[in-house]
Amino acid sequence: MRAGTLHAFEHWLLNYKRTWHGTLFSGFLLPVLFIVGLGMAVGGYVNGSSAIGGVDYVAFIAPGLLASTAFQISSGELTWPVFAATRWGSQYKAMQASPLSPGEILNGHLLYGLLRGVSSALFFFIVMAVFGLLQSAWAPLALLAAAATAASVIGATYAVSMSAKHESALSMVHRFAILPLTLFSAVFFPLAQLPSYIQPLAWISPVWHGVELSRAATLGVAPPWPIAAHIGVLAVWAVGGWYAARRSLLKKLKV
Amino acid sequence: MISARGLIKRYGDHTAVDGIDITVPKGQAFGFLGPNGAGKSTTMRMIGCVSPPTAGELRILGMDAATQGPAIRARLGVVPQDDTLDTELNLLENLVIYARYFGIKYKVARERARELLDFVQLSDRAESKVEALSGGMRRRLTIARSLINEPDLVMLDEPTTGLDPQARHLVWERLFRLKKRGVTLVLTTHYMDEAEQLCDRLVVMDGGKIAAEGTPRQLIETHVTREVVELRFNTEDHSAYAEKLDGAAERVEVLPDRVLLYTDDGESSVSEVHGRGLSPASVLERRATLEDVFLRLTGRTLVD
Repeated sequence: MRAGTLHAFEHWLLNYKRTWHGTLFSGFLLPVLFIVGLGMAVGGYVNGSSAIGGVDYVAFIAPGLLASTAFQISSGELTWPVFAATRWGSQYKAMQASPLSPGEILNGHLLYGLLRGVSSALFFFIVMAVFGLLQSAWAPLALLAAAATAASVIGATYAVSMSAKHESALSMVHRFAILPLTLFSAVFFPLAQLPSYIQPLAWISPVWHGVELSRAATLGVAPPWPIAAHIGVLAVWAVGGWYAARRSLLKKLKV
Repeated sequence: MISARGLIKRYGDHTAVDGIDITVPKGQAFGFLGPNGAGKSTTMRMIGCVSPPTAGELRILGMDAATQGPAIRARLGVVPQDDTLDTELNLLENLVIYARYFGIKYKVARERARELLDFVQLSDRAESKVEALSGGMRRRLTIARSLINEPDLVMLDEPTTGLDPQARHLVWERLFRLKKRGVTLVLTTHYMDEAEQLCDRLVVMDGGKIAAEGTPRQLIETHVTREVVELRFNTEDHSAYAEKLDGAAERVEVLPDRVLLYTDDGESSVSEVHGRGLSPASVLERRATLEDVFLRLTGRTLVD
C-alpha cells in the first residue's frame, strides 16, 4: 500500500474521533439486541429445526449478523460521507492540492470504510464469544468472511455515492439495496426458505456469500457452494467495485 | 519557478485559457488580474497541478506539470478561492492533518502548526472549531495551512476577497513578510490596490489571453496616461460633453455619470476645460491607477 493512502485514511480516522460514540449503537448495541431479541425469543419456536441445520436459532443468525454488520457499517460509511466529500465538504479539494493522487484519496477513503466494518465485526465477534456462539475451531475465519463481505461492497457503494446526482439517491441505496440485501441474504433464514425463483438473486449478492462463509466457520459446517466459488463471487464484486469507484472519482475530479 | 508556453485549457467547446506564455522567476510576486471568466483561476489550477493542460508546455520548479504533479504539489502552497478547510475540525487539527497529506511526521507537523498559527495571529484559537471563525480568520488559517510544507512557491487565489480592511491589511503584511523571505508568490486578485501593493509583475488576462504584462508602473505608463481628471457636470446626460471636450486631453472617455480626461498634465487639461467656457460641478485630479489600465484593457461591461 502506498504511504499516501494511509495519509488520506488518517483524515477520516481523525474525523471519526469526533463521532465514534454515535456509532456504538448501530455497530455494537444493535447486533446485540438482535441476538437477544430475535435469537432468544424467536429461537423458542425454531430451535433445533432441521431447516437451520438442527442448531439453536441464535447460533444460526449470529454469524449472519456478523457478516451483515460488516456489510452495513462499511457501506453506510461510504454513502453520505462520500457524497459530501466532493459537494458539501471540501476534504477532497484540500487533498487534491497536496501530493496525494486520486488513487490514494480513493484508497484512503475505502480503507477507512473497510476498517469501520471490520472493527464493528470484531466487536460483534467478541459478543458472540461471550454468548458462547463460537462452536467450531474454525470460528476466527468468520472474521475474515466478514472482512471479505465488507471489502466486496465498499467499491460499489463508493461508486454509487460518488456518482449520485442527488442526495435522495443515497436514501434509495439504504432502502432498496442495503436493507433488502440484509433481509434476503440468508442472515435470518436459510435461502431454501425463499421461493426457488428468488434464490438466484441471492447468488449474485455478495452479502449471501459472506454470510454463508461466516456461518460455515462458526458452526464448523461446509458452506452451500465450494469455498472457492463463494470467495470468487466476493472477489469479483471487490475488484469490479474498485474499478467502478475509481472511474466515478476520476470523472468527478475531472478538471 | 514557472514557465508556461502556449498553455491551453479547453472544456468541450469552451476555451478557458487560450495559449498563454508566462515566466515567473524565483522570489517574485506575480499577479493575475482579469475580470471573472478571464481564465485566471483555470490557469492557477493548472499551475497547481490539479487540472492538466489541454495543450502547451508547463514547467514548475523545473518539473513537468503533466507528468510530475505529485512531486510538484509537494513543494507548492495553495490558498484556494474557497478555503477548503474542514469546518468540523479545530484549527490545529486542520493544519496537522493537512501536513500528514504531505507525509510530514506528527511531531514536526504539530510544531509547525503552532508556529504558523502564531504567524497568522490565531494561536489563541488553536482549539476552536473552524466553524466558529470569521471569514478573515479562515483566510489566515488557509494561508497558514498553505505554508505547512515550507513551500517554494505559494499560490493565492483571491487572497483577500470578502475581507474587511483590517483583515486585508493583516493578510498583506503577512504575504509581504513571506516575500521578503524569498518565497515566490503567485496570486489572482480583483483589487488593483492589492496588485499594486504586492505584485512585482502582473499580467492582465481577458478572454483566456494575456492582454498586457509588466510591472504595475510599466502597465500604467504603457496603457494609460500619468494622470486622470474626473469631471462631473450638472446634467442627466454627459454624452453631450464628448464633443465639447474633444482634444482637451490625450483621451476623453464619457461615462453615464462623469467624463474622464486621460492626460499627462492634469492641471493644464483642467485649465483647457475652463478655457472652453465649461464649468463642471466637480473636478478631481488624480494619478492614473492600475484600475484605469484594467478598465481600459478589459472594458467596462459586466461579465456576469
